[in-house]
Amino acid sequence: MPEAEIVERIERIFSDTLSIAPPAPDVDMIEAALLDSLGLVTLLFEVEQEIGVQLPLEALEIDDLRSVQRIAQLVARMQGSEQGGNSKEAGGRASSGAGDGLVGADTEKSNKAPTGGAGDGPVDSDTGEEAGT
Amino acid sequence: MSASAVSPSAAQERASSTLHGRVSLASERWPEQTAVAMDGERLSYAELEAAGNRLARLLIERGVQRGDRVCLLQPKSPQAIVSMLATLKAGGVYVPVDVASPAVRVQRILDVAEPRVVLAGQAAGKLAGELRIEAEWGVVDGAKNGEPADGTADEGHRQRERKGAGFGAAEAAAKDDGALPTETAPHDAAHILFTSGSTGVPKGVVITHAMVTAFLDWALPYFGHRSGDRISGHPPLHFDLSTFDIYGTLSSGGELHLVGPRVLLPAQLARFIRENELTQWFSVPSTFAYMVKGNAIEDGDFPTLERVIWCGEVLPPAVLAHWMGRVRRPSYTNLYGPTEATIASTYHTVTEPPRDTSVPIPIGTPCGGEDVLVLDEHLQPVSAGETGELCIAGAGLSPGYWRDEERTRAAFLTQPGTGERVYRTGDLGRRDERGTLHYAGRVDSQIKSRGYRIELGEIETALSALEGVGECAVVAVPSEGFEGTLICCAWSAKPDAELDPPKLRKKLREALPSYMLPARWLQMPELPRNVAGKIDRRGLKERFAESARNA
Repeated sequence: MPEAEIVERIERIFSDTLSIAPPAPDVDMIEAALLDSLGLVTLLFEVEQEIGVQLPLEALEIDDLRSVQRIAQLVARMQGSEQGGNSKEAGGRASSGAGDGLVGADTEKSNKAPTGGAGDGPVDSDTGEEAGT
Repeated sequence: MSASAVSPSAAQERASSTLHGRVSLASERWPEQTAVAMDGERLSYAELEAAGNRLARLLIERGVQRGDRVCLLQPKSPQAIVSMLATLKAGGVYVPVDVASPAVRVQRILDVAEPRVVLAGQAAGKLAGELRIEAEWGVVDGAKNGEPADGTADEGHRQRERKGAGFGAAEAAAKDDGALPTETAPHDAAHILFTSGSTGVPKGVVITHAMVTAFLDWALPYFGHRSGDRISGHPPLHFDLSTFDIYGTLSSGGELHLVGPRVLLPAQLARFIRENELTQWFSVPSTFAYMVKGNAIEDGDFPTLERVIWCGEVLPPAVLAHWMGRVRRPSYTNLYGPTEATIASTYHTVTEPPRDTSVPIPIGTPCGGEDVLVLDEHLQPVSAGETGELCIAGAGLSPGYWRDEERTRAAFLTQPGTGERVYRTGDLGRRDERGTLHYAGRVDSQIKSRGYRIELGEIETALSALEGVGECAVVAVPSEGFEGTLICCAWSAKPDAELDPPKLRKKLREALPSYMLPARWLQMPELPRNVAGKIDRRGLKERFAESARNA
């Protein structure tokens, strides 16, 4: 997927899921305090689901996540390495006791039912209601 | 003792009936202890109380009276907690606003809340510059280390000058810090939390002092909160969950450790728990999964943790198994409940790591003072084991939505049998033979048409998978006809797609059973979006309903 398209998808996640006006691709979101850790968690999980890529959460540096542009570059890199068949490098998680599959699959489930707990959540499910508490 | 004198215990009882009163009692008892900490900044209970009293006096001077709203345009910070307490002390109702929201959305909240005063943080200076603020407003988080880090304070300053009025941290600092008399009654509103919903019109849930104290009266003994506890403040302050962090901690003499804006990566969150030696971690399930996925938790990690609590979504059992396998000391509790009944209405403490990770974690049994009913569409109880809508009754119920009679009437109903007031959560659930409640999805994504139960999301998924479909939204509209419910679909084609309505229907027929096929179709160049940028399903529904009536 070309980087421009990834940027577009990320911008969509900002407006659709996070209810935040998407920042310009080069804006330093960390500096601007646009996202707290909960917002970032939501963003990254949505990126994984929407774009179908596994992000190396274990090996991430904060600089990888500073801007929409940077995140798009990271996604493009992951896609590149996945296509290259170098899956070990892609995840960098070969040693992780967590195991990708374990959480990957279930996380998806939980994200699809963000209202699961009811009423006060941050994350709007697409059915419209805000995830409750 | 004269008849008019109030006995010490009566005074204490009165103070316990309000949130700020409970914090004041804790401040008398543990003045020197840390109340709130973030990024190296610490406020003791005495400092918190004094700062709250000073700012409350300023608010009163600026016209805040009992029941007046005070909007907080502040990022999570000790100062934001001071602002909340100050508002309550002045008799007001605080409205925390997400400063990362688009200005249009914040403006709508301001317009609906009609605050007497707006308390802004410097970081919100840029946002404030884009808003039309009718109320008086001031910047209350004085420049850290003397000078602002960037130009936002200048922006705020310019605004202030333009508005003429306004105040800064210096005005509050000059006020007296002694205790203030309070007229607040337990059923007065304490805060209003705005959720965005899908309609673009923000929905403000009114939360009273009594709603929160009722939850605390159950939760604090249950979880065993004590002075010296070190408790996380992870969710943002405009989230209902943070209410428990704040008042659970500050009424029992604990330390509230706010997770600051620089704590972002899984490893940073883990370090935060470790270095602050937290005794309680309370967050939403996605954070738990994020930390597992980032492999941030060591074996035997977080030795000080006593309680792990989650709420707000479904926690995947595999994630819980991972946590329980590595962090063995704490108790693990699932809380469930909508903002409309503040913080939580049911709880379930898990004692053994889930062995079968395909079995969801129950939402459990009602918290003390709350009642949870499983009702059918006529608000009659269903039998054990049957799925119905989860409806909440009891002490935690909100009086309703802020200045929104219509939505309040639609969501808060009287149960015909008992005459009890209940809130319809929109969640499905069932009660098993042992009385334990289980969550079973959302009501509004599931409809009944011609006797079939249908998940609208499933139709959308099938549609999106078809080649040439750009966007789609499937909504259900009640109909007079025999179907009971009409399935309606709005969609757009991709720019170069050779797709017309008949072709699309033919393709969908290959993917879905006939009872799931939409009966009404509407092709649009692009789908309408609400202010939050989401597809405006309510608007679409109205449009379909209208055309169904005219047909």
